Amino acid sequence: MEYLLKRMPSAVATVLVASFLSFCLLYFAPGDAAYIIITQKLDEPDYEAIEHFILKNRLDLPVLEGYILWLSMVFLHFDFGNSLRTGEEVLQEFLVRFPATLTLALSALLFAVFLGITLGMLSALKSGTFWDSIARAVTSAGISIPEFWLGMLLILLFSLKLGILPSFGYGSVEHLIMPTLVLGFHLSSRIARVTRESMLDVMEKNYILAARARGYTERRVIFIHAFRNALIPVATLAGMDLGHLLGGAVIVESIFAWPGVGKFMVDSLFARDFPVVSGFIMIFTFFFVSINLLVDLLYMRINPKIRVTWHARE
Amino acid sequence: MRGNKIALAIVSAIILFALFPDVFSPYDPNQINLDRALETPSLKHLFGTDNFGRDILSRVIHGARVSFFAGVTIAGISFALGTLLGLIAGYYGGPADELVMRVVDILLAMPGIIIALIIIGILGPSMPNLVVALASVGWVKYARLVRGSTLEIKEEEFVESARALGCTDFYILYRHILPNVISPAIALATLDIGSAILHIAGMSFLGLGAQPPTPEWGIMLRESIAFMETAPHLMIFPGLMIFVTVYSFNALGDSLGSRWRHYGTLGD
Repeated sequence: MEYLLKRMPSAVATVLVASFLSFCLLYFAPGDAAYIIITQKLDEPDYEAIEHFILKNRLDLPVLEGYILWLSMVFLHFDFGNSLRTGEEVLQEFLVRFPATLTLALSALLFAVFLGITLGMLSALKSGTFWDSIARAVTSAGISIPEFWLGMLLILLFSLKLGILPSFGYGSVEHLIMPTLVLGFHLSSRIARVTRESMLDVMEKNYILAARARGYTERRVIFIHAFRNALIPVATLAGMDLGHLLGGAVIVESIFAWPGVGKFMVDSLFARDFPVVSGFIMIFTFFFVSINLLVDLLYMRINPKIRVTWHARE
Repeated sequence: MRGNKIALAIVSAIILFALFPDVFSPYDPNQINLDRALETPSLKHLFGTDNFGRDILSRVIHGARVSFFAGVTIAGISFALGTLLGLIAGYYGGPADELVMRVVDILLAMPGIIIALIIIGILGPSMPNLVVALASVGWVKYARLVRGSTLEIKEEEFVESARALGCTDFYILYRHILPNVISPAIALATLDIGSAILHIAGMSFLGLGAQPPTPEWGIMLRESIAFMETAPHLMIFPGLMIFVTVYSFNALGDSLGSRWRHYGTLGD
């Protein structure tokens, strides 16, 4: 609790600065939102309509005033404004698309943790053998392969040649398989590397020697004594990456036409739809900061040593 | 290790392609020849031709130039900026450290791709802007790494004795601290070239990086989507090229990294 209170100010500051930056930068960006949007709607620039649009959406305010107005609406009414393109509330636009992104992120994370820990353990326990080389080759490939290319290869194989999976869309388990594989493969490779390093590290510790000396079975030594301790860095990585999966799935979402938040944000960026971009960034940053805090707290639960160091520093 | 020699050979080949693309490519990469459009690989066109009849092998070789120089520039700027800020933050501490680390915290609080997207959205999609966008997120890793090792090294006795001898801060940073913190940063930069090349291709694929008709791997893949079913060779070769290039840079970076880590433990 004390820890949480200490961390709160810097977390709040991060959210504020991130939102301010995104708000200002978009405000000063070349290309006028009103002009672009009205011209797109009417197929030609109509200056009266543009004027009306600017006044209606309060785009005439100086940047600081605009920001403060926006921020106060966010905090007092939880109102992020309306999208300039669709006219819908930004929060609504986010909530409509978020389940798709969350589903994909969680299933990719689950797949990545499962595959990553399996490969990492295999690599660590059979260190130096043929299996280790295979596992390491797979993880190196996972880190180096471009996600969009892997996605295209899978579509080519499973949708176009074999015809067993839908190439794009959303709604069923079949739709989820390929995006999950693509998004999860890269992460699983990183998890596998961390698991391997961490496991090799732990296996050299004295308490493993002690456990062996007590005559516990190898299985028990590995899974009860070593594995649980080796998991700590893996948990941090997975926790932090959940945040990145939520925001960073832009490429995968666009290949498989997955109706998530990432794709919508990129489109809004091009249309200079400030309320959507600023609002989404604000919500994202809030998520990341909260997830990081949660991971830290979780960390203190599973590792008493960190708890002690924290108190000692007080 | 045999694997590392292969990686080194591939990286050397990529560098040669990047420096002298015209020597290696059999055709002009932008030569349109609609009579020979969408030909499958043959002796005349080893990787086949695309929808405009352009030779894919030539385009892939010229693509190495775009990706390699952009990747090196991104890693280079990130490396230089991050190392400098890391040194300053670690050595001086206090407000300088606070400032740098707060910026680092904020940049780390969001996924890099989102920040890069914002910058591209503001500056407009082009290759130089993509380089700026990726470098402005990329320096953070170096700053953290270098700051950490600087904090350790500055407590060493040789730094204290240098200070007692009246050396200036600049001299101490340059002659005593920098050489001790730079090796892992160089290994990271090698790994970073690989990931920068991956990001460039990904952003160009989304239409946010290099623009057609530049022979760039990401764009080639983007353009190949329409022909995926009828002419899959359009997507196989550029993708394979990205994969092999990034794989080799990563393998090289890893072996540099573990070599220096090894020396590090010997010194303890």
